[in-house]
Amino acid sequence: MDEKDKALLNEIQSNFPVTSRPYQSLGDRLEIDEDEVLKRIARLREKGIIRRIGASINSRRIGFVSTLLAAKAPENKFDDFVRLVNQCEGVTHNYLRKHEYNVWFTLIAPSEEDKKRVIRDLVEKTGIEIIELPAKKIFKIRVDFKF
Amino acid sequence: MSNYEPDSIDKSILLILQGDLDDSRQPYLKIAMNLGITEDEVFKRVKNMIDEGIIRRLGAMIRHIEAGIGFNGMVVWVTPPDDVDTVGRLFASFPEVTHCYERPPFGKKGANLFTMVHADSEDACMEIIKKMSQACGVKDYEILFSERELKKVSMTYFDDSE
Repeated sequence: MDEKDKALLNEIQSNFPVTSRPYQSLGDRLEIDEDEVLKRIARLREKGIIRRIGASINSRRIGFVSTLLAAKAPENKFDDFVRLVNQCEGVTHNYLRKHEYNVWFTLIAPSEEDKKRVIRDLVEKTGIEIIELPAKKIFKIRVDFKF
Repeated sequence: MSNYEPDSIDKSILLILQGDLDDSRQPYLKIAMNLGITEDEVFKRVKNMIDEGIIRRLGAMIRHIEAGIGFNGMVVWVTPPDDVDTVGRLFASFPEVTHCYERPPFGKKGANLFTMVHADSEDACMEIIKKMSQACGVKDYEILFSERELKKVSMTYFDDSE
């Protein structure tokens, strides 16, 4: 990644232009032409750095509920547990962490009932207890990274 | 925030935008043609949904591990209830802190503030966390480093059947 790539990434993460030719608008801001913007984006996609270009939707704002869940999955049940958790459509992030509670995942569901059902199903299928830690107050969600 | 509810056209736009825009030079025109509306209408609706907070962010989603900032530590802080607001806002001001939430008490000590700290190494993460602790005076915290990313996807909110 060179300086132009970094500048492009900083710009494109949160200020994707809402204009007829967004890649040209980006190019104008960075003083490169539209073709070069597209070429650099293609390369950053190939490297796996750009996952997608699109919208991040505020789930709460459209009536969905989201929560953070944690579980203590023992080694002999770990793979099965993770497979079942990851199969859930609304599970968007899942991390193995160095802690007694080793599996931490986020769940987004269309309603409170759906959320409860997904958690209940997981507990029933796996026999592993799951604790729920929904946000009481949000101080910051910043999903763009500075390069 | 207002109570603006996305209508069916908004939802059709969100359905496209929650996926991946291809590298078409005129992606909004493409959406407009798909939905049988004008490009100006697409601009208007997208801008409105950004203003309304329905679209939190429009742009590139990054795989931070590939981008070299793959280290993330979740830090849980045991904060006196009266200080949660002050400390939460202070943590939020750190650029390396990407997420900061108050959550129900966790663990034996009842940690109630959760922050996600991103950096390029475990050491760098530790440095930032030390600074955060010094800045707010909360000494009782626990770090849960990520060992492995088990899943990371974007949510699908509206499917074609809706």
